[in-house]
Amino acid sequence: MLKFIIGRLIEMVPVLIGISILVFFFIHLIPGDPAAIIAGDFATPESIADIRSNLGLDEPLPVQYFRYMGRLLRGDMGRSIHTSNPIAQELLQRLPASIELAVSAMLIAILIGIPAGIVSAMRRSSILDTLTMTGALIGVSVPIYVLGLVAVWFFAVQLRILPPGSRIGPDIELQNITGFFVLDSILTRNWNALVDVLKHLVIPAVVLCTVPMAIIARITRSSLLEVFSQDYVRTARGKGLSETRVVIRHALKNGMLPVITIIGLQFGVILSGAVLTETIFSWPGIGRWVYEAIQKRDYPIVQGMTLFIGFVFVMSSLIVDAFYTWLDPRVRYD
Amino acid sequence: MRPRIHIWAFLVPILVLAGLIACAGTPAQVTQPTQAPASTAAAVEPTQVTATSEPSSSTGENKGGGTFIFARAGDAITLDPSQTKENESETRVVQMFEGLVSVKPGTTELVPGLAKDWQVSEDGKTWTFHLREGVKFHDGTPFNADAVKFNFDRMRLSDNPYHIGEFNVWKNMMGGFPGVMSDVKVIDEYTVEFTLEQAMGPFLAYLAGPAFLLSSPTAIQADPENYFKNPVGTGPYKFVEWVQGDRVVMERFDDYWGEAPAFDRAIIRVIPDSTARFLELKAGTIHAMDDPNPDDIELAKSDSDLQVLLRDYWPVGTINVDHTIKPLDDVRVRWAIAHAIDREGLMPLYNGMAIPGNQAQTPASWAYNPDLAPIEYNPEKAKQLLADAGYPDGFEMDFWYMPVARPYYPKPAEIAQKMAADLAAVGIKVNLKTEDWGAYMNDRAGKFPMWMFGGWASVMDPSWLIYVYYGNKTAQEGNYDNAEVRDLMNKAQYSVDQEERAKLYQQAAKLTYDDMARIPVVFARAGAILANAKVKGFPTSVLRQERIATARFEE
Repeated sequence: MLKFIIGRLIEMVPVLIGISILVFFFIHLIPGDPAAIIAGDFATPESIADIRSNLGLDEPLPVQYFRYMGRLLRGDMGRSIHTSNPIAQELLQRLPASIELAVSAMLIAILIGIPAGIVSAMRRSSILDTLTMTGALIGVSVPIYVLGLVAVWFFAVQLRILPPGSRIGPDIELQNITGFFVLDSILTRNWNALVDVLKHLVIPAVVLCTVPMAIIARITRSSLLEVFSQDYVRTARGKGLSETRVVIRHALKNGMLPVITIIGLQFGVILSGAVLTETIFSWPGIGRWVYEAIQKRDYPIVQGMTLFIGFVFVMSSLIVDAFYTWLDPRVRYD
Repeated sequence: MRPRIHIWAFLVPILVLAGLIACAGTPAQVTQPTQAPASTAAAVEPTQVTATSEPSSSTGENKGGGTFIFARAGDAITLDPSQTKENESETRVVQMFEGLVSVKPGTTELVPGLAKDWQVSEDGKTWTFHLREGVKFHDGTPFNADAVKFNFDRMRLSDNPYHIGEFNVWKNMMGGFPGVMSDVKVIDEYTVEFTLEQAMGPFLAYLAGPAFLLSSPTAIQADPENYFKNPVGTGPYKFVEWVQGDRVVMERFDDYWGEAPAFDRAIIRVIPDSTARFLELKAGTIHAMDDPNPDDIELAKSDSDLQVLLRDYWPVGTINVDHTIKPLDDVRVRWAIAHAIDREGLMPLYNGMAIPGNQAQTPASWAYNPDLAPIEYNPEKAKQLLADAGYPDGFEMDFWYMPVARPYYPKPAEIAQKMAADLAAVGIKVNLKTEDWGAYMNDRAGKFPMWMFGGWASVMDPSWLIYVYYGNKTAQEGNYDNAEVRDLMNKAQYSVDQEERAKLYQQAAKLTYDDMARIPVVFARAGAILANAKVKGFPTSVLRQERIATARFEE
């Protein structure tokens, strides 16, 4: 197992290098010049050229690339063109917000999606199944932007039971220890803050969870249905086991393999791609940060973050693969 | 053995979630009873939570109290005034800092700030400022001539130990380091004298700008590298906390020399999405917001809980032409274009946020020339002018439109199409083209024959816009070549008498109008703020630098 993990980690290197090359050259293909954006609407060509050379953007691309990778190997992700802040520092500052949101959303998606899928599979073609699967279809189809704004309008503006955005109320004091507000408020026994933080999490997490939840429910259902048709399930039923026991003890374990894969992938997706959710809910996470960086042609942030996101995906698929061995004893990585 | 573990693996998270839901559910009900009228609910709620959680470090005196929350689309880059170069940072620093000169809120008028008065020598090169006495920085450091000298030496001398960073605005306005300011002398504790290499018309206006607001020398000396996130000024609000990407929290400064602000706390939040900002305003979690959607302005007008605060006309939108390209070198052709555009017809695209323009300064500026006639929409006259110029059948030309929205061209593509149709009606067939904004900015110098452009002064001085336009002959400004206009611009640039300068600018406006040097299209509002109806005393600023100090709630 250890050998497998080390092997996978080594395989990661060429993947990440590939990503870095693609991103580096692609982002420079997009028209637009960060120097012109920084210089503003009244810039002279000279001042733009001046900024460009200060940023090292006037050098040939391959030179810029190797400079960048050289610094990266020394652990330096560079500085934002726009704010001049070190990127690693900003990443660490924003990452907890995104992780907290992604974990909450995933938790909801799993805890509702899997049972919904199971129930659908057990009561195939029933009204319950139809309702669940229609719900899942709506979940993947409704644009997050619309869903998010409607949810805010309903719960925050009309009912006023939940806050419309941000991670914490502006007047709540919370000592920042880990950057994970739920954890920080528990650690400092600041229950008022905990309540406030959880309230702020509800709408964004529910909105963000819709797509993964729908996908998880559908995959759980179809995967279980496939398992149900297998001999060992028929045997279990033949033994006279209750249907619940057949599903939970026998079918679920095999049926979960594709679901775990999807969960891993979806986690990567919502961790890195919660751009809309983070924007609508003024969530100071990495999705919104990268989106704004792309708009401002803040190359170092986009490069650094694409690599980081690549890393997240490779890691989540590694964890998924590792899970397989635990779930399915026949799978062995030697 | 294993299956049991698996069941637990599913059960445990379910229990956790149940707990989460329970936690998130009950408190909502606990806090619910505290709210009475719906519109004030959210404002009341957080304050109550603070009161029960941790003792707030703010003052015990009650001068009205409460928190004012203003939402903007973006976060500050720096809270060090000397390093500000864009509007988001400016909006934050003007709450906490003051300069020698101030802008009277709600106007474009310069008034005394930390200097109570000043004199300028006959040649305009020596400025003496008499400082207000008894002013303190938030950290207790006394404000005096030494503090002023410290700030200006830090900005202007690149070998000053605290000159860390770009000081971009100083560089642009003062022309480098030290640039035009050759000396700063402390005459006595409350008198300071600036020596300039040459007279500078906009000097006072520059001093009123965010980049020239004054910082506590003690705070800068204590940690120069991190001063940008630990700002200390003399303003009505002092810095508490900056959560990057989320909010800047400030609280009332009790030793403020002027009138104490009404609120205990002022918070500027970042809410990037304009619809989300509007919903937060509706929910009562913020009290004012910048940059609303045009549709939301209409909604707010008909909502008794909200009010619309319109900024004055300040940005100017024009069609620029390259004066070296035929037939645009002919003044009759330029006037033909001017007469061909139906400005009133464009107004529906602006949702009430613009009026037709006729020069490069709006009526809000003291350099505006009120004697110039509106440019008439007259296709017949345009055709006649084209015929006179030798183009009875018109001509064909590329017309570049902006890829980005600006207040003066909020829907550039639609506005361009409308103008193209107007031009076609008099025989000028234009091919609409666009490209990325960065490229556009470069290519207007030489590549474009005719293009949409505009701008606004980012300081309270007309030179900031029109000196750029007409002070020199440059390709990016269309190679307009009129020595008389240049002469007027330069005179105004070096005069320190505002009345004289106004006359010079108005003369220049007349000349550029007759030349139709660039074709004025609109005067646009500098934007709008939506606020809760109970907010009073929150005057708008054409520079988008609203100060919270005078704001209060009135039910």
